[in-house]
Formats: sequence, C-alpha cells, structure tokens
Amino acid sequence: MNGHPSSLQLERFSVNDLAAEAQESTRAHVQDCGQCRRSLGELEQAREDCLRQLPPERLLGRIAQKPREIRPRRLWIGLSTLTAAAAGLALILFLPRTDRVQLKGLGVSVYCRRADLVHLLAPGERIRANDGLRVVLTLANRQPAAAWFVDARGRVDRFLTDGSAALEPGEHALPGAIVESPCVDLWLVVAAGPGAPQRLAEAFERARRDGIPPGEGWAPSGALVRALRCE
Amino acid sequence: MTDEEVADAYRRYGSLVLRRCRRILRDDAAGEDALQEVFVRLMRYGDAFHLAESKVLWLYRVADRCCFDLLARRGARAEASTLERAPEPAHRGTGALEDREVILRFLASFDDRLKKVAVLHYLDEMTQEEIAAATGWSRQTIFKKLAFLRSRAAALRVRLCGGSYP
Repeated sequence: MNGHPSSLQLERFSVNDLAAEAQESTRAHVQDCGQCRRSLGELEQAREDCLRQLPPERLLGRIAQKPREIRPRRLWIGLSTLTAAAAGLALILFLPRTDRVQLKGLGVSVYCRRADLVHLLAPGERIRANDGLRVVLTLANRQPAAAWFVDARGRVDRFLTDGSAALEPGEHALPGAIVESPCVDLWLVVAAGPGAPQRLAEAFERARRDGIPPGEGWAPSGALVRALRCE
Repeated sequence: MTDEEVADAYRRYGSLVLRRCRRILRDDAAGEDALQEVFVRLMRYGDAFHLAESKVLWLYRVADRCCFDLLARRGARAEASTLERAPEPAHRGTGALEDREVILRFLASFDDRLKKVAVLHYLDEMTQEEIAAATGWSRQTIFKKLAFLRSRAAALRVRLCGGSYP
C-alpha cells in the first residue's frame, strides 16, 4: 500500500467491509502506522459513544414512531387537470430538488405546500382545497414507470405515462398539482416495470367496467397506492 | 428487515453513519435526525442492503441522500448562519481554513452533483478516478467539478476571513 489508506478505506476496514485483499493490505499498513491506529481507536471510541448515547432499542423506538415511512400507505388527493398544470409550474419553483439514491423497491413521497410552507405529508394528515402537492417517486432500478391519479369522481390524471422510456434509479419529482376547490379525494396509483402504463390502463378500465368505486380497488396487483383524504 | 437485523446493522455501522451525517451537516442534532432516517430506509430497503457488496458504501450513499435533503430544507438559512458564526478576519488568516473545511461549511449552497463530488473528495478522500468510478461520471466531469469547488473554496474563504484570493 502506497501511503495511508483513505478515511473511507479505514472506516470500511474498521468494520471488515473491504474485499479480502484490501482488508489484508490495510491491516498490514495499520500494524506499522501509529497514525492509522489512532484513527481506528477514534472510530472505536465513536462507536462506543454512539451506542451509549443512542442504544439500538431507542433507535428502533424512534423508527417505530414513523410507521408511515416504513410501509407504503394509502392517502387521498383531489385535483383538477387544469389546476394541476399550473401547480406543476409553481411547485417546481418552490420545492427542493431531489437527487438519485439507488435503492431497491418502489417508493412514493407526497409533499404539500400550504400557506407558502412546504412539508412532507404526515400520516393521516388531511389535505385542503388549494393545497399544492408534489409527488416524488423512488425507483430501485432503471425501469419504466407510470404514476396516475384517480379522484373520487373517477377522473384520471396521467402524470407519468411514457412506458417506452425507462427512468433511472433514484428519486424523481413529478409535476405538481393543486387540490381543487371544493376538495375532492384522490388516489395516486404507481406501477413500475415493463408495460406499467398498460397495466394501469387495463386495471382502471376493468374497474370502471365492473363498477368498482374509485380507490385502491382500481390498482392492479403490484402497484403502489397512496391516497389523500380531504378535511 | 426485522428489528433485530436493523439493530445488528446499527450496532455495527451506526456510529460510522452518524459520524458521516454530522460531518456533512455540521450539526449534532441534525446528524441524529439523518441517522434515524437512514435506518428507516434500511428497514424499508433491507433487501438491497443484503445484496450490497459493501454495506458501508450502501449506507453512506443513503446517508448522503438524507443529508442532502436536510441541507436543502435548511436552504439559504444555513449559509447565512454560518457566515454569522464565522471568525473575525483579524483572528484568522486567509490560509487558516482548508478547502475541505470551507466546502463542507457551504455544502448546502451547491447543487446535488457538486455535493456528491465534494463529499466523495473531501470526506472520503477519493481520487478523481475513484470518484468517476463511484458516480459513473467521466473523469473530465469530475475534474471540472473539483476545479469549480476549489475556486469556490477560494472565494468563500475570502468571505469568511477577508483578504484576497490566494
């Protein structure tokens, strides 16, 4: 090994996260390097401090208080097509951009702008007329996706329909929407993978044909459904 | 992932993640918030974590994302407060602050791509080649971004400490 290992390499070494060869060469360096041994000692001390200050049980307790973050939820939204277009422009300006994170699975976050304040919608939080909404879709792999809204009247708004173009892994902010006045409940249905838009179209058509009320019953299997309920 | 699996991962990697979050955010409390969010995502995306060749790199990638999101929420306030807390020019010379210190202090003011390069270079001490491999971007892109970061560091150092560009 030429010179000291990088801080990243040393951190990975401390938890045996390097490939076998790199682990061994780092070990050989550390044995002869007081500076790196001190750095490792600091990492070990930090580990002890961390576990003492925030034991795993307490961390799990905190996580348990955020169930909505762990499993997909069902929420309602209401919006109209015209206001959605205007909202899309407005929300792009005031919401922070999201960047890529390569994670497995499909996730959806809904941000709400109300009285010039933007926040992530909390579990059970109701929406109001004129709320600005923006959906952030998280994809694990490069794949096509479709994200459609259906409201309580059965009106469908297709946000992401181009199934021929695969999206990169990571987070994608979709165009925004404004909750119409008076507020109307609405579902967000998201499908990923080849043929996602077709699966949504077929499921929605089938639901209409079978007289199923708009809602989660409209979603094809494997799709993610979130709903936002009006106050 | 089960609670026990998450707890095991936390025991092993939690302090590294917390340390990284605190260094990026420069705020202990915010670092804990980010740490918590990282393990929420671990619980949600446990399958990907199990498949990851390097658990540390996987967690760091998620931690960076969580921190960048927090920085974005803080927005310009962070930069303003940083400037307010900066030492008086008379107390510190222009050269007293290293590029790394300045860049991390003003991380929130960069776009996400620059943030990513800054963290990989200044925190992880990666070479240009390693950053290119980690991000999938070209060496030329990495070179340009690092050159930009260095020029910004010089300008920001002047704002913090006074004096002229080195």
